[in-house]
Amino acid sequence: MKKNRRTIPRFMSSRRAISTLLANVLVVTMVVALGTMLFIWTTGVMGMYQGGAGVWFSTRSEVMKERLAIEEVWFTNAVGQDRKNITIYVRNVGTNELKIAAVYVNSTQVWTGTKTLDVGKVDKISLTLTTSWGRGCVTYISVATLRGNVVKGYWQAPF
Amino acid sequence: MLKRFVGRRKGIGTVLGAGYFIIIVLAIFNLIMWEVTQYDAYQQLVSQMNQVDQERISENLEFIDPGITDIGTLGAYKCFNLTVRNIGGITINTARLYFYNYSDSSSNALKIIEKAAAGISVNYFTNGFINPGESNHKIRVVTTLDMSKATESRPYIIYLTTERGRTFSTVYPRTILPKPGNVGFIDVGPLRFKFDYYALNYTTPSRIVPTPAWLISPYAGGTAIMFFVTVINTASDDDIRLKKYCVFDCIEMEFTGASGKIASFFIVDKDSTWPGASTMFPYDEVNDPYILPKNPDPNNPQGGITNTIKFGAKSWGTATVQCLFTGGGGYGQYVYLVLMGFYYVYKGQDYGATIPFVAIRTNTPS
Repeated sequence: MKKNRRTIPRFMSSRRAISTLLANVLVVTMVVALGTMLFIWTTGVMGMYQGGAGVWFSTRSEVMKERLAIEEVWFTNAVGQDRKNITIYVRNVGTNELKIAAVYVNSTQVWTGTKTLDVGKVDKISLTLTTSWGRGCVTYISVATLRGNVVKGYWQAPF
Repeated sequence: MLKRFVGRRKGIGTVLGAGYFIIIVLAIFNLIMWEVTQYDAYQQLVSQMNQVDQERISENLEFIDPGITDIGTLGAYKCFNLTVRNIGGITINTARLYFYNYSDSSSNALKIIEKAAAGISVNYFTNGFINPGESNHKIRVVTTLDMSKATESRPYIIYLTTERGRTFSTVYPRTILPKPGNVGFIDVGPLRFKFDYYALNYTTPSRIVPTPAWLISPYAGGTAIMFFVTVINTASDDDIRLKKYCVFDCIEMEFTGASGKIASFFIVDKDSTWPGASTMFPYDEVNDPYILPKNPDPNNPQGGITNTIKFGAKSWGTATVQCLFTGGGGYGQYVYLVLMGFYYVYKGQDYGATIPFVAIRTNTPS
């Protein structure tokens, strides 16, 4: 302790090797500063990338697990013989719960909403058209889920 | 050595820089490892779902003719078997059955048959698990539907859906259509009439061996004659019972204008051989009717089992012999147009069909 008390004033009063010392301090400070900045920047960039990729993998996985089957399409009458009703039976044959968002008949949206379908379950969607379905007409029907999967096919109306 | 290293003042920046570099490299390595893990998990999911899709398309099911068998009752309800064959490479688990009455547009047209479960007392099925290779699997259905009333003009479309999301369908009852371009048959309803040289024959008291009847010669006026017609029941779901009113009408076509005389030959017993008192017998439609058996094999190019129907009686239900109209008798040359009236019972209902059949001749030069 006594030795240090004598050394520091001597060091402070000495004029030798100041520039070397300053250079060392400067370099260390710069390295620390730049290294810290680089670290922060790298962490931020990687975090953003990881976040985006994570969302992509998660979303794609959820979409991939969805499977939907249209079991039956039943053309019938809503009122009397107006031939404006179509009932679609859909089954969730995937490994994930799905939500049906829209149904299109001949590329025209006729139903929209959210119908949740658990794995293995079947449910029906009743559509009421604005115009009658034609007897014997081939009808293009597509069912879209909230995650973006679309199941489509052609069904023929009865004669 | 460590003491000396710590005491030295040179290279501190290098050491710190190297430390930062190592930290950043480790962070990037960690990111790459994370990405690889995520990608691997995603690829595993893709493979798993591909396998699910592969299994789905491996499902293949065939309905065996006639589709529905063993129609009966179970208490207050109807029951029957849906016969199917698993020709895919994977087991099939039936999820639901839809019976759609194609000719009905009312709210009753669609009947949904669920898998048997507690609380379902009607409109359910059992035995819906079909192993690969099973060739005559029967899915038992208990329902309120009366499938015995289904006809070709009022058919049902049956949809069988599987738990993997496939749908297989058939129509019931099935109608077997003749092969295109086949001129060897005349099809009217479920009846198929063979149209070849040996499908139409006749016998007389003097010609007791059936002989092709396209040109009957020599034929003396007033000679009793009996005709043999070959008929097939192409329906695969029920037999056909012929009634005593079945008739083979020969319309004489005289070029002088005196045509139009009809000789009607009614159906006679199947044991009849040629027209005579002890060789031709009245048709007994109650105790010994003609039963045309249903087609047991849909792949049979003939369309079913061949039957020979005999006509020779002057009036229905008798064994009174009949002759072709030949005007003044002798060995006159005549031509005849033949129409047949077939009256039959099919699936419990009475039907009648007129068959524009053949044109035959007597004694004309060939």
